[in-house]
Amino acid sequence: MVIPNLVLAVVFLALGGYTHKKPLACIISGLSLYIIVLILFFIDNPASLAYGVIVKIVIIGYMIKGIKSAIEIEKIKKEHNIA
Amino acid sequence: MTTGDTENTEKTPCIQCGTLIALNGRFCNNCGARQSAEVFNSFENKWSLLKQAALFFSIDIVACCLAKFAHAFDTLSWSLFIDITMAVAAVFFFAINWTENKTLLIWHHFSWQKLAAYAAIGMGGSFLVHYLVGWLNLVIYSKDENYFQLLKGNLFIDFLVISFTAVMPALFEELGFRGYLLQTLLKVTDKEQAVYISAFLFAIIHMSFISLFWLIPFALFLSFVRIKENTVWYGVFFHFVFNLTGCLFELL
Repeated sequence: MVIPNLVLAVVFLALGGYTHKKPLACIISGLSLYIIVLILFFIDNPASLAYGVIVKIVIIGYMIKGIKSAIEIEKIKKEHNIA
Repeated sequence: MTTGDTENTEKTPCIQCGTLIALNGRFCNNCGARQSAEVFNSFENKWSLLKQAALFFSIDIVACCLAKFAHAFDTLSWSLFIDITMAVAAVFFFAINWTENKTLLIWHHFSWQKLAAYAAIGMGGSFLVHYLVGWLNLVIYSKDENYFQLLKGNLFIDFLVISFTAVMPALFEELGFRGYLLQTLLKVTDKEQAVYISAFLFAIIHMSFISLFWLIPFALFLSFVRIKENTVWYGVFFHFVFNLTGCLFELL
């Protein structure tokens, strides 16, 4: 269990660190990975879905908001020719 | 005409919150939204495309999770059902935008040399991955996994193994991920990010965090081939050769 958790931590850190350069790609990847992890924990122990449910909803909600913002910011960048 | 009437005709509702704002105003005084129908429609269009892509990905995630981790589905008939569900989902989503996606089914500038080159890369890559994954499994878990335990004892084992792991994934994963998903993402974001997102989603759907080290480059290569060749067939062939080589390692 330690190795998958370490891999996950490294992947989330890498995605977080790269978000300012490629926001849409990083947030979509992060959200997908987070949801897969939640599903896997749910399959292993269905009660796990209820643990920290508010925090989970907040994380998913903010990530969805982040995706919308990333689409907007890419539009603005394109309009103003910002690299 | 009164002053009030003049003010009324010069105001328009905000395209996002509906508050009345000046007719030529670029931003809403209430919610701050940009007042351009084109921008709004474009955002709405991109957002709905992303939601559609999320639905496709969710179906695949649920199917993969059930197939891999739910013990109740550890039977041949359930595996078949799950594989067929994923195949139907890939075809359905690909067909949603048929007029645009059908061009991806045309084999532009067919070349035997290219086909041979992709086959060679596929075989070489599979050979390398087979030994690296075997070695990693031994080092980390002290065991080497056999992926075909479920199919052992069946009369048509060779046929089933090749169908399950070489033909179906090559065809339907390419149709779903490089056909539908990548094409959809290209409408939402730039090429670089679309390629990366489709590759990452393809990699994590295999539910093996250790295998991410080869799945991501593998999927990036397939996305690159799909964009370069503007057809899914070179990718299907490369994917088939890669998986077939892996199958033969297990069967022979």
